[in-house]
Amino acid sequence: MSEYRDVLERTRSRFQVPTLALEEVLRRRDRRRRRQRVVAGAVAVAIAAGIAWAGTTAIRGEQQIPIQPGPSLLRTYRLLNVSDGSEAPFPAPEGGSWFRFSPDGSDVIVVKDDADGRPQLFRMGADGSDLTQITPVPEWASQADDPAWSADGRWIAYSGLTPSGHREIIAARPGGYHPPRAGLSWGKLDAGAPSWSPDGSRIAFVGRGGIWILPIEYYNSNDSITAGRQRLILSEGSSPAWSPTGAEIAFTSGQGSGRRLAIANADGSHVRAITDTTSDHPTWSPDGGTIAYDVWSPDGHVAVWLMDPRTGQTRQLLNDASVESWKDDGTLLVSTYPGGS
Amino acid sequence: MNEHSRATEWDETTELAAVADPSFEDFFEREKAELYSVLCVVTRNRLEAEELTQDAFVRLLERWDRVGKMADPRAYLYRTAMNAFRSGYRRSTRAAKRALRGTQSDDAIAEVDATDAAMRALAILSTRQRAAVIVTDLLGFSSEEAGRILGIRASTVRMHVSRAHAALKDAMADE
Repeated sequence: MSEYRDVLERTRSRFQVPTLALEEVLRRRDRRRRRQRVVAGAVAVAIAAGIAWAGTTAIRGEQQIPIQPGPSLLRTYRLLNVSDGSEAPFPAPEGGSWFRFSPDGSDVIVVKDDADGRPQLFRMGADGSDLTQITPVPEWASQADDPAWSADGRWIAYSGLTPSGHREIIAARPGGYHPPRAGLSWGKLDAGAPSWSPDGSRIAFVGRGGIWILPIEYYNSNDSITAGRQRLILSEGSSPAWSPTGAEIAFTSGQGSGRRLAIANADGSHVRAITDTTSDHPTWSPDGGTIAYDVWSPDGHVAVWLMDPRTGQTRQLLNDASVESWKDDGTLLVSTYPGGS
Repeated sequence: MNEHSRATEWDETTELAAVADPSFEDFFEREKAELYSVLCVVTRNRLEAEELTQDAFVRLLERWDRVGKMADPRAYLYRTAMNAFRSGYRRSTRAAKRALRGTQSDDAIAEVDATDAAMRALAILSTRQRAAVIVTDLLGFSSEEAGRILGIRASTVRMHVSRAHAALKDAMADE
């Protein structure tokens, strides 16, 4: 044993491990998988174009990275009444994620892999019935993720992998119809995580590490949609969530263990931090009286917390669980990990 | 791409031993603190150490069906982390991210520098010299194993370690 081992061990031990949670590793892995799929998709498109140019029609499916989560990593979903603590099971289809309830609570849009392992949007009843795939629409996007309902329930915005190989914000009807100008964002921003303003006039989204705003206009008696010039309002941020009043946007600021929740005015001004621990994924309740969010503890666990944004009062709701989305009746859909309570 | 190809080489050349298959979760909890703190010493930047730690575990998770059966998955973990650290592209990416967030002075590093002579001694070494002495003296890998982990020859490892020992010896004499 080296005579220097002890002195090096003493130096090393002076650095205390920050919040390094297994859940963050899983999230990173999922993001990596998505990026790999984007690359694989782009390669597949290039190969397909090459084959077509050569006059050959045999096109094979894209390669996927096989990922096998261990049984201890599987999530379960449940709906919680945050007032009285009662709960109900939620019929999540196998492999589903990013569940988003329609404004009237009757339907759910969910992200789920298709037969080729590409994320797509599915629609189902809130009771789990009639699971129906609504993307891809190849003219607009070969993959779909991050769906968000407009407040009137007439539109879905999502992050789609376009034929150009970039992620853009795409508009569709909840049934899957894509209007003539479905592509809303532009500029190769790797756009994702859209959130509608309550009046449907704007969409906040993440692109190139910042938060942007898309002005939205409707025509033909609101049957079609188009977007104006997008504008960067925050140079750094993720997970934007428009408040039900329309006046504010909650978002995640920072990276790694430095992630904090913040609120900005809807034009990006007056940014103020609202948490001082590692936290992520702010989600407004339908009445605007509560923000549900994830908190990462130094011992590596994630918990669901609630905050009253008017008073700043917080309380922990669940251990070993993550926020999914609110339902119109004020219940909160959460995903729990084994041992969560 | 290079990082991936290096990892593949490691997979192919590392003997797979029929040992108990520890769950990734257990491995993660057992190893994360040491890897993070080792990377703090090597990189002298906590943000970078945290990024590298997370990324190394992500890569292990993706290959855990094979890595979990290796005689020493820990060696694979450190090789993966050091590969990532060496990658100029990744370093520049992280630097760009840090620039976007604004520069932050690393108070924890400065605090340890102020109170720990060994940390100050290591600070004057090159990153590769720091990594070499950490991987051999602290983590207990042989020069040959350290060479595989760091992607350099065993003789170069020994040269770096010798230089690091001289610096540490001076520091401890001054303490």
